[in-house]
Amino acid sequence: MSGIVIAGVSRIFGTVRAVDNITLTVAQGEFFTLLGPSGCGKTTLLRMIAGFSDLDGGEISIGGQRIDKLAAHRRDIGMVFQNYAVFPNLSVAGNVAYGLKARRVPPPEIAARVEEALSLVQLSGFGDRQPHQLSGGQLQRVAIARALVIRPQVLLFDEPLSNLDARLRVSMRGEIRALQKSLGITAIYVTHDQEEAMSVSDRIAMMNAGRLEQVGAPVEIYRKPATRFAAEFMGTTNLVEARMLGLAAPVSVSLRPEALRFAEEAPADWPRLSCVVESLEMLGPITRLDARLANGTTVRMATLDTPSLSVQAGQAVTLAYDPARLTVVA
Amino acid sequence: MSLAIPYRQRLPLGIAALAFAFLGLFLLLPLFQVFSASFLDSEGTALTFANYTKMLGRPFYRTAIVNTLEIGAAATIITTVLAVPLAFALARLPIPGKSAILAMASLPLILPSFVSAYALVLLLGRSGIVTQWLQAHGVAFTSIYGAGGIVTVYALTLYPYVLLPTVAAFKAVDVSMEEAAQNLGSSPARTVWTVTLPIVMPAILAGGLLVLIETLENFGVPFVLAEDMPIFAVEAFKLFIGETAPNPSSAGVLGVLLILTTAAVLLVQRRFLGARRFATNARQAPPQLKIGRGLQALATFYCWAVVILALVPFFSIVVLSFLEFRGPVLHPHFSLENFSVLFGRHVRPLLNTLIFATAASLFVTIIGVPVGYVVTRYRSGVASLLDVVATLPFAVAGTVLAIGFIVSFNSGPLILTGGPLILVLAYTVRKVPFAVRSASAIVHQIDASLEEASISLGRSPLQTFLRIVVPLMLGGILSGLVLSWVTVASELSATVVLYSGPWSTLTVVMFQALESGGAGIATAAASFLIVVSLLPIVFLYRLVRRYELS
Amino acid sequence: MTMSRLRWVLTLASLVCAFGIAGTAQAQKKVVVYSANDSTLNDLVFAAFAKETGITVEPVAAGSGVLVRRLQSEKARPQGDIIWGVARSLLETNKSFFEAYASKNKDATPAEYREPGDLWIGNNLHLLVLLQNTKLVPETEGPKSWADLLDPKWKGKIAFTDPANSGSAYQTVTMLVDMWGGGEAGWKKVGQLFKNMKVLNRSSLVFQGVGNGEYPLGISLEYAGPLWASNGAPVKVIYPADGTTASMEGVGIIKGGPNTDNAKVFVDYINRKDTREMILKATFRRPTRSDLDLSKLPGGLPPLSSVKLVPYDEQKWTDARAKTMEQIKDVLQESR
Repeated sequence: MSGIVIAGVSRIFGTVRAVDNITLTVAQGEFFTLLGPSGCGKTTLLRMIAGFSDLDGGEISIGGQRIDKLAAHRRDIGMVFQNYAVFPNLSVAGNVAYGLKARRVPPPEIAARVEEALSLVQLSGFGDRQPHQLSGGQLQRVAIARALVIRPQVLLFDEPLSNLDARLRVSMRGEIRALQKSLGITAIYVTHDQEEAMSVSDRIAMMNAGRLEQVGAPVEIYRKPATRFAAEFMGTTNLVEARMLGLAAPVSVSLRPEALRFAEEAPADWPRLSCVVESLEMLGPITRLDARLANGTTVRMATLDTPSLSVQAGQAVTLAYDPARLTVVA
Repeated sequence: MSLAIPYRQRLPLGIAALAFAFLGLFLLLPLFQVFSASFLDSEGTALTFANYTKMLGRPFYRTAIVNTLEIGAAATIITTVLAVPLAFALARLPIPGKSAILAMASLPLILPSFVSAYALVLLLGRSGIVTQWLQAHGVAFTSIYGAGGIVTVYALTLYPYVLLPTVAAFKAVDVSMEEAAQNLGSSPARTVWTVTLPIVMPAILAGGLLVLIETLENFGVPFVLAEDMPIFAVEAFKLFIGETAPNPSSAGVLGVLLILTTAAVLLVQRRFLGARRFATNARQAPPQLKIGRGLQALATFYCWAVVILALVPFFSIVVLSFLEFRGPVLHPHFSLENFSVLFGRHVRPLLNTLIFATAASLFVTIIGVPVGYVVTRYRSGVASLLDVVATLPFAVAGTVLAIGFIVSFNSGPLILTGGPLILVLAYTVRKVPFAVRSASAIVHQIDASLEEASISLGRSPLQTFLRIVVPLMLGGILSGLVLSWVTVASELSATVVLYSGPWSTLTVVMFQALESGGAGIATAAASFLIVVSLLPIVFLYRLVRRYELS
Repeated sequence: MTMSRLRWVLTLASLVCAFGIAGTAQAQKKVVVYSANDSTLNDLVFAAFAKETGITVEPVAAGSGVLVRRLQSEKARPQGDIIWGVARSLLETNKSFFEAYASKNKDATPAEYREPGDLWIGNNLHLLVLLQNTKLVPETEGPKSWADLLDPKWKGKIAFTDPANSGSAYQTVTMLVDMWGGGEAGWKKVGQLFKNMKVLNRSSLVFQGVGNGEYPLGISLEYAGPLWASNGAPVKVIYPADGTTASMEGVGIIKGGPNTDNAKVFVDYINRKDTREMILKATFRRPTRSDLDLSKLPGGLPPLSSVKLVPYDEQKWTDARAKTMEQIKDVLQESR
């Protein structure tokens, strides 16, 4: 019903194609993330949906209705900003009620809905506070309540957690995800943090230089990255020429560190690689290890902490990899 | 019905269109009428630049230009150096009597500059009271005449231009920026220098720009204090309406040069600001800084010293108004005669001044604030052009605009001469830059995402402007309102050309009185103006304070 | 809450100004006078005139340069009825804006102070004189003549008005050029004089300056001396022994003005003998009429016959004004 269709959308600044002919479909109720490095066009695309950036080509529709020519304030889209954008001249309740007043909702209903929205973001009883009395996390909750309370067709998040500290970021993203699912609202979420993207999204669109690199479920992009860029941006990977692994095809392949194991622990049918340990990093549950192959290529391996094994830098080891997890990248 | 203009641009373009219509009719048309002569040959038929080459070829006028620019640059630098620490102290340090200082700081602008100059000559002229006292005590002070005196007077009368917007800006600084800097190991002093100051730079620059342009345009001060040192605005004034040699084409040359200089300065400033983003997202007024007792005493002394020094002409005018004047000659006896003559004869001009200043400053705000918003938020060519056009009035001598008004609105479809509206319109046009610049300085500090948040919640850009932007700008709007009220009340150069019948103002009374040697009435009128101006200023500051505290 | 209070204040303020602007209508008899005279003279005459005739004067008081610019700018729809207190040369060069009117006091005014076609009529004369501050320069040590002013001891001590802004200053310079041999020789000596002078921007600064002791000497108009002296300032008038000239000020009726009939009443009134006496008593303006007994009036103005006058070709110097003004600016620039 309120799925989003983005068809051939472009935005050009001078000679730079900030958004280059992007086509996407977001399903009703889906949590969809635009992921990419800064300058990749993800924020511009989000702002085009919100109505804050013009389209130089293409169309955007929500629920079958074309919206790209519609004024931003008529689009019925909630938006949560990186820097909260909580109105400093209004109380918390005033902020949350703002969109309802714009919609001429009767005052008694406003009061009820504001209270409901505040309790959704766990800020019950904060209505009379002034914004300057709140912490960053609380401010972002106010911003979310303010965007939710108008019951928009679509909720947009523009890097909403990047101003918060690491611990708060992790708990807030869980809350956002839970809230979105419980309300069943379509959400588009912009971030440059792949871990955040993976944790919250139903699907992710990887963007680079204004173009889509790959669209898919987090697991799919992680396990089957279509491009070098997608493979590298999404976590750590070993990008090597296939022949380095003793294969004949003239292609590049991505091999995740966790698809490598010590030969002793690997199934017998996995291909073996002899190498020398270069360096070793013990991270608690995980041990990371860089090893050099005979031809000079370095591969990175990650393994769960295994007390029975003792490996040291400079030691010659034999590794094995899971051929099923070898992905050819463009 | 579908418009070709994208919705997002309709508000700025609409505001720009209205502003251009207003300024086109009441600024550009009159100016064109006056300045076109400078591009015509002596028969007034062929286009020529000969007037320009001729004027610039004469050493007298070249000297005038150099003198004016030197004085302007010196005055701008000194004023800024004086006002920025004052602004910082008032915004961030525990200074006793802050509101009193702020209210008093707007006062120097109330006194028309020809009255200040009169008072200063009585005090610091060759036979001035202070001069003689200093000389009797062995101080080698000769007099206030010359470039040094002019720069001093400018610094002490124009510093509110920098002070008021900068105080507002210091208060709007996001404290988390400073916290971040200190967190990174920066000392408080270094934080102010490297973080706070750059954030308030737009306000400082906006104020400094006003000072510079005002020194280029002002003729009341050099008229008296320059003696025979040639000054641009004075020479332009004489060429326009000198008794013996009115020379419209030569006068037009100087007027056009003044405008071009101003436009150039403005564009440089715009470029500089355009290259940076200063927006912060202040959640609360930054806290007072804790300083040691010695430092606090020093800061307090500095604030009071600057404000009181600037008010010396004031005190002397007030004292003079209670002394006896026989004709033009001052006799040091107490007397209320000046006031009884003033209130007996000049009640109407007094009322006119109050009404005109109030009406014009409201118009100025209504026009200037949206324009200031547009020129800051949008960086299109239209916005740049609007910025320049809306700041131009500041570079136009009041006399010139007034002559243009008479030529344009004495006949034809729009007749305004003979009534009060022509004065209010002329004031409005002249003071619009105050509102534009002070609004612009504040908008620089309002994060654009606040407006986007409001729009995404369903408010149109116009409603967003009224409900979110205007309340956040309130401090800046009010300081612009005060500035324009005060400077309208002391406006003379356009008034004297445009007033008629019963629409005379207090400054006209003062001017006529000083000219005819009736200095007593002039000082009484000035004293009265000081008192009435204090009322709205104090009232507005109380309002601002209450707003800020709530 | 504060917002609503602000809104209330703004509403009130706009009401106040609307109220003020609305109250403009009036239906009295009036006359609009563009006056370059000072406010002492204006206030005196306008009050007496209104009392006698019942015609209210709406004054527009400003420098003559401003008034003439206004007159010219308002050509299509004149706003004023009278222009008063401006110098002869300005009256003469702008007479196309005036309406001819033969004043009832025409015959009492010598013909040399009237426009032959009655477009303007002279009211008073300013002799070009020297003012001396007797506190700064003892009474007997002052200059006696224009030539005395060339003495280097007066360097920086003589206040003068920029001829660009003062008709009488222009007349002083050009008179001296003629007196000192005319042409190059005359200009050379004038250049010498400029080296001694402080050239101020407005004539009021000269007599204020001498009266308040800013400058020991000033080149100014006759009336300023008794005006300051009679009020207790140490100011003395010096009538130069090598002769001087008079600068005339007069009045004209603006053609097509809104109250021309009342304007005629004003022109008659302003040159009446009793009016001139009243003006002389209060402001020391020397009348163009020759039938007042100056010895019986205050101010100690000597009769014209006792002052050495030199001929002055006003027409010649008016015609040559643009070029002469440039020359004066050059002389001024060189003398700095």
